[in-house]
Amino acid sequence: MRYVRKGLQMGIVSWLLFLVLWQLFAMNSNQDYFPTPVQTLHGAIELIADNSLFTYVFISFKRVLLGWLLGSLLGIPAGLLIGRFKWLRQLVEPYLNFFRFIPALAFITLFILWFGIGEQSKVILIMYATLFIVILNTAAGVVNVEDDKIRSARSLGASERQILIHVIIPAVVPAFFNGVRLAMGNSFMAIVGAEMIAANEGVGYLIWTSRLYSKTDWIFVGLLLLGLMGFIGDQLLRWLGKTSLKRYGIAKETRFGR
Amino acid sequence: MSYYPLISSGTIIEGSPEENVQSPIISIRQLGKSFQSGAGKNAVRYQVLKDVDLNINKGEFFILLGPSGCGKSTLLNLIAGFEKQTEGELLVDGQAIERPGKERAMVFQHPDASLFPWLNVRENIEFGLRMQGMKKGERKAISDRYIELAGLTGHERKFPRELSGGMKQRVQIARVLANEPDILLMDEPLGALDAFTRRVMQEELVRIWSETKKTIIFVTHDIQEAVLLGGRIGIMSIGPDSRVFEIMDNRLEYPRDLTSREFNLIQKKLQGIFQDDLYFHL
Ligand SMILES: Nc1ncnc2c1ncn2[C@@H]1O[C@H](COP(=O)(O)OP(=O)(O)O)[C@@H](O)[C@H]1O
Ligand SMILES: [Mg+2]
Repeated sequence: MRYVRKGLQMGIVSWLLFLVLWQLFAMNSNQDYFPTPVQTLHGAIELIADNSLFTYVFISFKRVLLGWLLGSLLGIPAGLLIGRFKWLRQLVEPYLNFFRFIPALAFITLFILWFGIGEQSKVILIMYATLFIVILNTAAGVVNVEDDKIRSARSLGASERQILIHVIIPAVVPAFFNGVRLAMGNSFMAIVGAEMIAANEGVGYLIWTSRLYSKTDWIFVGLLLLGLMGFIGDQLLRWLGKTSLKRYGIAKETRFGR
Repeated sequence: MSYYPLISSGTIIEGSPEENVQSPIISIRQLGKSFQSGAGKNAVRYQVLKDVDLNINKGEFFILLGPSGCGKSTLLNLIAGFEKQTEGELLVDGQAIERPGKERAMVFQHPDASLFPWLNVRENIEFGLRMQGMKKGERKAISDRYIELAGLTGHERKFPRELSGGMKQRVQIARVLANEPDILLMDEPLGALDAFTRRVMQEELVRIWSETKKTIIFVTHDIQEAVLLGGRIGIMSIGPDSRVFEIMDNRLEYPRDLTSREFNLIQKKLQGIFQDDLYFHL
């Protein structure tokens, strides 16, 4: 009983159940369209053997990481400024509320024309996908900093610059962290689309081209890889939040059901 | 034992601020504050305070008493310099208040909104000193003193989320005291506490006041608390156009006995004011 509970807690039970259900479903389907876990594993081994699996994962991950980092680095100061100055907020809010409804992927053709078919257009696409979420979250965080905190600091003798550095930025860390986590998810969506349309490497490319050879097992490998990459990325972020940003109150709001 | 220069214990002396001979630390003349909500044709002005006249003396424990919404926080915010009056004059040490200053410290009603949750107890208390560029060692000497005074010894490394409501208010009090202000503005700081903790904190507050000799303006809507804590009690009328319409002098000896006849006499008298129909037409 104790092992079951432990297994449930760690998600092992869920994954075992997933494999069983998958196996059962695949056995009762046409396996050309719905491969079993074992067939998928074989597909993965093929992809590892020809060296493409790790290369693709590495390339997709690199694109996501680079674009996401750049987007976040740009989004934080922008969000802080927009949150801090009402006139700026009023100025840019219409843009933000307009552009956030245009999915990043819709820009891919344009970005290829502007920035070429290479890495640049993809990284910029991820940056775009990241930027708005980070800006909106950071700015909302700034706006929501309690007046009493700022007033406290001011009457304790803090200058406006000190208030920004020692009150507003620390207070905004959770909101900002939420933003970059959401943006990470968005980045994966954007990169897969971009790689399907215009790339000859990457996990999105793998999923798209496997269709041409009717290699559904490779498609499955690609899908699992995406989930795994996102999961690992998110876990890493959460771990970072839990350890180095603990005092900002991040640990508690990063997981539901606990 | 008495902390207050009493004339005769147990008597009630009413007086106007003008009777005080020493020059006041805070002087308020014909003060008014209105808020405007809405814009253009729909703009509405709401005059919260009007013609407030009040003098606060150095070192006194002044109580501002009135029902919710009468403008107590508004008056405190004006003194703190968080907001600007729309009419009248507000002087601290003879100087008009332009902005918040560290000689006027505010203890807010809600500690969760005003403490810094990313700083532990000691770091919260040292915040003002750190902003002024004081070195770590010096800071520690000062924070040690106020940690002890506020009864927080042993909790220095805890974060606000790990503290009870009463402890959080102690941190707020220590945080402002460490900054050596002249005036403590307290906006219903004990309002959210349970009855027991509240009683303990009330006693602590009297002790802290008698040890530090700070000028305190303490806001409350609780008559018993008003009688228990301070010297003079400023009674506010209900808004709009609220003002301090009466000041009651309370010279009961500390520690005060809630059950004593004199205590209940003052309490009854205050209750009488608030229950009087006339109060609503002031
Ligand atoms: N920033 C503001 N804008 C508009 N109205 C306000 C503002 N602050 C306070 N008021 C109004 O002023 C009145 C007094 O508020 P407040 O000073 O908070 O009362 P109290 O502290 O005595 O409960 C209330 O009617 C409140 O709605
Ligand atoms: Mg109030």
